[in-house]
Amino acid sequence: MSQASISVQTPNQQANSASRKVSSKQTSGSFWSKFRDKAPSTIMLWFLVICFAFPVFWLILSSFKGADELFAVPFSFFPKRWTTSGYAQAWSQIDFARYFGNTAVVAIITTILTLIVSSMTGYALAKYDYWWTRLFFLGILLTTMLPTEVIMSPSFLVVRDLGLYNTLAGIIVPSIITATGIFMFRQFFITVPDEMMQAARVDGCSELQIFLRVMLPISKPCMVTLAIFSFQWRWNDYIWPLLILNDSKRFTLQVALRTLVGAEKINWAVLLPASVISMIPLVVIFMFCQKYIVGSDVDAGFKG
Amino acid sequence: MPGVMKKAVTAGIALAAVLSMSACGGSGNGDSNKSSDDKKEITLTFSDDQNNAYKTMAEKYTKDKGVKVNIMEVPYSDLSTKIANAAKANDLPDVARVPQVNPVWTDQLEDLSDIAQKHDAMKDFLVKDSDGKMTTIASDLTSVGLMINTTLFDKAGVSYPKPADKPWTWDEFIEAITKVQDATGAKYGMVMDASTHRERSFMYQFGSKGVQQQKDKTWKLDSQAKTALEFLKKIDNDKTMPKSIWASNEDPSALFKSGQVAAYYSGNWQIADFINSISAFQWKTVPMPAQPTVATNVGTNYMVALSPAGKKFLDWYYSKDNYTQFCEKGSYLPALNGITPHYAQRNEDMQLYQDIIKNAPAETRSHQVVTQLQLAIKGAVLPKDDPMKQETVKYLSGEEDADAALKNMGDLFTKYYNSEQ
Repeated sequence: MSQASISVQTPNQQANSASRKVSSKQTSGSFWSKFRDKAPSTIMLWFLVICFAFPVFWLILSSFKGADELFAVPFSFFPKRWTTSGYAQAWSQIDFARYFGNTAVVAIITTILTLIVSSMTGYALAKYDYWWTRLFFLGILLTTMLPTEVIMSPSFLVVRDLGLYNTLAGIIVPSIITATGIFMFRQFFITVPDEMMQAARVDGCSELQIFLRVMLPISKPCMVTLAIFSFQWRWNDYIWPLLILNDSKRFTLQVALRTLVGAEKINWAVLLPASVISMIPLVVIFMFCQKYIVGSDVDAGFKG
Repeated sequence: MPGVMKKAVTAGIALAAVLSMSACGGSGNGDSNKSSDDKKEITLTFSDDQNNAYKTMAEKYTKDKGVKVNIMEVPYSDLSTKIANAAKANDLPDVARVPQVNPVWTDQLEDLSDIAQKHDAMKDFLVKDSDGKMTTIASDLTSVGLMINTTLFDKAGVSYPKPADKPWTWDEFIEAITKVQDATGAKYGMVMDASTHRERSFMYQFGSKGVQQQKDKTWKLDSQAKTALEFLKKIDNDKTMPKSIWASNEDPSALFKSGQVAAYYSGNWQIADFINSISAFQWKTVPMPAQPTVATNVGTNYMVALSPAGKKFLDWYYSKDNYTQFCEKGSYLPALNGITPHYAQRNEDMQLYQDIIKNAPAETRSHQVVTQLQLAIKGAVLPKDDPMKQETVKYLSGEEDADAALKNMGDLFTKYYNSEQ
């Protein structure tokens, strides 16, 4: 959902700012020349908006249809009879408060730890150039070549032997280090001139103070971006929590939602409203952090 | 600066301590008192809980026996992965309802022979392992069945057999749905789940015995199976039945719910869903066609106990009153003899399904589930893609002829079914 919106919003904003510049230059230009300049891109963007928004609206509107209307022919976009019975049933059938709580604990703690670890590691790898830091960086990059599914079995044994089986910590700990996050911060800090560090040293800063007081504040866009992604990854995580958690009370939201999919049938009338409810926190976060996600400085970490 | 450094180190240690504490907090659930008989807490694992029947039984057990039941409801598609991983972590549930047993944990199963005998479990679904232990009992039964859109049938003035009547043949049934289509403009005559389970039942109704082991230990299908396959191809013509169901996994249940289809060849598990999701037309379960054999294919899940406390639960669960309540609550068909549940909704349909099971020849109705359970107990891991479905799709799409399809089915079943030897 949020990813769809990213790709829609980014060109939109860029186009808007571009067109603002154009219109300021040509205030005396005729209506037709303005129309000719703007129409194709606007139509294209609206077309993209419709393409991306259609499935989302279909999901949301269908969640207000009764079970008997979901498959009725002819299909209709808007519910003929609006009902919230699916929501009521989903709410009573799934203990949302508990699963929201579990998932939030996992997502928030993992995100905070990921930010701390990624920013420190990325900074060290960008600014302290020894042969072994380069080797270490190579090692971290190598981990991206193994998909989670491949290392699932050995990871499971490690987590079990550490005594983290059936605990939320068992989901949090293995997810803290992400090569993507470290790479993002490394690439960002490489673009920061070394002179800033030297100036700070001259002013009497220790290495840790340089990091905390100089480097960390300027990496804010990078931090917010990674925070949003990390939160989203953990919020939508399914297979790992399923393997690690063995007690329904500790389940995360995605595992709980999947129980609605049965062997021979799927309870669509409950699954659709439940999915809409599960989306709400991510949408709220996206709304608050939108300017960081779609802002032009998102790609700060990838210059290099 | 050393001060800042110190703070950072302290914060790191504090964090590690918090994490390790939460780790300890969670490990108490599993094996603290696993060995003793009279545990005060057991874990029950299942998926697909119709009308919360299992959850209701768990609460009742706590009330009756004072034993707390921890529920672990797992998504159906990942149930076996989940239990296999729990076995690795030495944290198996006490009782589980599983679609099949798994070699990873079969050796930890309790012998349930005495429970099966005490509560009169249906004999043809019971399987013993090589040591004479009976580790599984069917949790409930499912049966293939035929549901029709009676609104369309009545509108067309076409009659259909009642439960007590002589069943129609497949020819008569196809003739009837064609009439319905012509009179009402229904888009399709029938839909059928693209599943081996339904296909086998279809074959049995043509007099086939399905996939049978030969004297030379190979597995083969008979000539009646060929007749059935050819009949299936004849009706899979985008008029009587949409080709997209077998060819591209289109959802037949959604098609039937749309009201555009006269009949649906599926099973009793649809009933609970249809009660809520169909209101635009009337529907009913009717006797399945027989060409000329009256038959069905039964499906089941298994209850297994992984600790003595779990076995105690099963003894309680299968007792007459509790099991009847379970069947009634979840619209499940009983797997014990002498149980006569009365269902609050669609009782007539559910009684018909019980009759269908009762009247079907024992030789074929349980053949698929029993063969596969026997193999699983011996440690064979069967593939998820069933050879019968694969080859049927190839045959229906014209990739191979009926003889080749049957030969390939036989060869593949021989390969899989003999793989444990």
